[in-house]
Amino acid sequence: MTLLLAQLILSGLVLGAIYALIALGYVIIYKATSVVNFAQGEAVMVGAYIGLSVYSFMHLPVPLVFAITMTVAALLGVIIERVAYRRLVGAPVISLIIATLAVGLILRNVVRLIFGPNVYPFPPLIANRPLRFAGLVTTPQNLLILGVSVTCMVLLFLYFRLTKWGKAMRAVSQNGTAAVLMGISVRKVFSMIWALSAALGALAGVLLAPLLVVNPDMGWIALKAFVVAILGGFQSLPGAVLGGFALGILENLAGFYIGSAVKDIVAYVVLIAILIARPTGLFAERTGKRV
Amino acid sequence: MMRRHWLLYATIVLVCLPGIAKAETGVTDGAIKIGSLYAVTGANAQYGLARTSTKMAFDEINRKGGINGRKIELVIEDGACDRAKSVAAVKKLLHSDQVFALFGGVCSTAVKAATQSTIEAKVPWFVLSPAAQNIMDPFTPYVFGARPSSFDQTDVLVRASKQSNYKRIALMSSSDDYGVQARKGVEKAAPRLGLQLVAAEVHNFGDTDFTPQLLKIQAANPDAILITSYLKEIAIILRQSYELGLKAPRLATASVTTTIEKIVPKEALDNLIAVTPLKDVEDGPTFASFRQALKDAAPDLAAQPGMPDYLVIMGYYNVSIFAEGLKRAGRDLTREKFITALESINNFDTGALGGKVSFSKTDHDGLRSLGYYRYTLDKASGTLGRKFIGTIDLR
Amino acid sequence: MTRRAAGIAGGLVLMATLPWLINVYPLYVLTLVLVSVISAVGLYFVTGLTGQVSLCHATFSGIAAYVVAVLGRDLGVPFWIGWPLGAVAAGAIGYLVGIPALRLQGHYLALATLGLGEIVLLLNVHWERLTNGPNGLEVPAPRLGTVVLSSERGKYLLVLTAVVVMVAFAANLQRSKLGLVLTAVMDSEVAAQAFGVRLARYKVFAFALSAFYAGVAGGLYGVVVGFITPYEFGLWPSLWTLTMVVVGGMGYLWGAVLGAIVITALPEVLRGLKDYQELLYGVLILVTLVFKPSGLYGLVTGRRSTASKGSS
Repeated sequence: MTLLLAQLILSGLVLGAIYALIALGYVIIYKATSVVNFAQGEAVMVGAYIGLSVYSFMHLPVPLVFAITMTVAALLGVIIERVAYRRLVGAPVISLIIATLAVGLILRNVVRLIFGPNVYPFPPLIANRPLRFAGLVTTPQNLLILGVSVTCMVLLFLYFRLTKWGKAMRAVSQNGTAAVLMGISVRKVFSMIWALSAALGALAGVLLAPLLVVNPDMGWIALKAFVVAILGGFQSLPGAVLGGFALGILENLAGFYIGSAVKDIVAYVVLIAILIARPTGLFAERTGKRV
Repeated sequence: MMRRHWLLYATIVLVCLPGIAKAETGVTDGAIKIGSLYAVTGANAQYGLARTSTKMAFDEINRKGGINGRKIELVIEDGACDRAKSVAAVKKLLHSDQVFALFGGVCSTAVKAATQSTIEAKVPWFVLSPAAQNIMDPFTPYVFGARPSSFDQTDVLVRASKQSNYKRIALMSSSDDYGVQARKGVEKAAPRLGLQLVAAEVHNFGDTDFTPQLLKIQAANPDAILITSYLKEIAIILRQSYELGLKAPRLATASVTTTIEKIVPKEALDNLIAVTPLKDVEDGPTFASFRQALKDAAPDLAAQPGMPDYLVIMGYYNVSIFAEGLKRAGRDLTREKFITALESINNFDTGALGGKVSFSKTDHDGLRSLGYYRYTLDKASGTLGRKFIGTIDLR
Repeated sequence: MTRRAAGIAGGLVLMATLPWLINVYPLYVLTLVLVSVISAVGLYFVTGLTGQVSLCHATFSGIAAYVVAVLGRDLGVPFWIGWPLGAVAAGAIGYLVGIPALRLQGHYLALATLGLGEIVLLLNVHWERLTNGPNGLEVPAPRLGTVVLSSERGKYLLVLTAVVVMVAFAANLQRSKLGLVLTAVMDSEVAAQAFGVRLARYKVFAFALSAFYAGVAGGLYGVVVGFITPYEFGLWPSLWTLTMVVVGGMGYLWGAVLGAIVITALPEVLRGLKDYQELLYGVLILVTLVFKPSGLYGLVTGRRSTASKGSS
């Protein structure tokens, strides 16, 4: 019985790592711009398709696939920011949110028009025999996802604490006016933020592509990642990661011990419970009420 | 106060423009207008690709001189597998385009919603492959189809299980209407054939992880697992069940296409049985000439992964049934005569479907014989082979 | 008669005679457009006017639609009773949602409502005995004495009447003292409080009112389409209604109306573009937002600011 529980938890950790990776993308944008990026799922999807073209069609080696995909996605993120979001600075935030919705719709359709609506196979990134140990089972691909998510979080944490750009981003998210007064080019920072978020999303896309099926609607999974981001308070990167793992495990446990129908409801019930109990999320920094 | 009301009225006029109609029933001296509903956009657009093969079939008929001296004019509208959009599309076909009859349609909920409009307008509709039972039940004279219905598909799966001596079966179904009806089908067929349903798990459309459900199924220790869902979900379920070490062989409904061979590790496909409405597998010899014709007529479609799938094949071959009905109705063409003509079709061989097609005055569900095939992994050589097993007559 | 009144009267007469001028297809689309106008006006009260972003608007529509369908199926309750009951039920639930909503700001409220909507959707899908799950429920046409409103014309006239009543009520509400208070809440919560406005009451009222409007629209939607399924009242319909309010012009009642008309009618207008429909749809929305953040209403009236103006 405990073996079953352990398996559920292990699988939940992997699931959670996926949520966490995508949630990181949401949090980065939200921290700086207060925008909920409804197109984050499409960043994942576009990443998967770029990866598909580079890995499956052009047969480039895996590390190069990651590098190219993230770079192209980052560029795309900057272009979209320049063309669309930049002009919406100053407009009510909700306009920006709907704009991301529209961007997501456009991306889905462009991909569908180029590649067609069918699902594409994506070969595994590393040899994928199931690994069995101590009665539990997982795969190298799963471990890769776990590893990459945690590494990402650590790298991002260091980036925000130690590098010039990272500190600039934090400054901008805490107080935009003060940041300008300090000589930070807020425009450049915003571009970097959307680029970074797009690159993260694309990374998640390439990691997920062998697990899911590459199709224009694979961005659906980002909805759950949303919930995770909130659990972490939408402001906290470690919060997003912990929230991701928590939700992944919780879903598996609920699905097994209560019922599969309940599995999805769990995420949202937890969401609402947390928002009612702690409206700023589980791990939020105390920033005081914004008037 | 709005100074420029024009924007408001302009939109209304734009919407009404297609509505300035003429009074015809879609038949002229030289042409018959046929309407077609398929998903062109939207999350389910892969199920609408059959519109290309349908057009191919009608083009071929026109090249050979048409039917009774009339060419077929095909009008395709996008339903996006969305109910509201499909109802609007069909109303446009009926009232603005004034089509004579309809052919096509795959998504069950969308087609079901749209048939309400065609039935009300007394216009016959030959649906392509919506699996839902309630499309033909309750019976209506205005809807025809030669399709693999949910109950028939699960019936085949259960019979195939019995043939292979699986006594205890588990079910993994999608929570949407397709899955719900398939589940009801299994719950009906299993006891009838003496099989025991030991676990029934449900998942949502679009889910990407099935660990809890698979572990529960594993705990119930079934002889076989039936999966009634869509390609994306089936692929992940197969992969995850293999990774978790579920040994029980799997049986799946018709949503499987050849793409699955590339998405899922070979070991996960070993011993997989899937249903098909066709009499051979899609890449089998029966359809070699069709595949070539598709490559010539629509190279972009033919190049996409998993193409042609059974829907694209049906989209082409089922037109022959429709055309036969038009032919039998004669030069003096009315909708009533067309319906009677279709009902007169008995044991019609399309050359593609798993059985001969027959209609009657009280039964418009023309295909009651489905095929099934099996994947086998040759352990020695490591090659994965797919073999068509045969057809099962369900009448 | 003032010129404005004559304009409105003329417009109404035109709308009422449309069923005899155009055929079933555009009439059907127009009917759906009018239903979405009611829904958008509702969302305007809570999101456009009092700034509370609600992403479960369609959920309230669904509650009303299902009340109509289930009561009709199980107890034979006629539409004319089921519909107001459904709308009131939706409004009541909106009130209940509005109370805890007070604790949440901005995005957290949006996401909480998103979660609520998803929970209700999943309950709806899985509680088959009550709702018949994903297979949906039929909504029989309402009877008016011996007349059955099953034709496209009958349904259109029903919806038209409802729209006129609901929008007129909304416009009046705006001009009333209550409307001014709600507008003040949008402009500045702090200032409103400084003037002694009991914020909480009004924000919750806005929620309840918006849910009521959504319920009215939901009941009508069921009748117009004749059949309802859980997914039609999920997240995406809520997002589209939000898009209507934003693209039409946040903070303006007529902006919501305009947005509803354009967003609902546009997909049908774009049909001819086949594969490119959705793409162009997305591009048009984006372009509108980027070049005219104050929305279509700003485009039409030449207003620049996005601050709310309660007057029509």
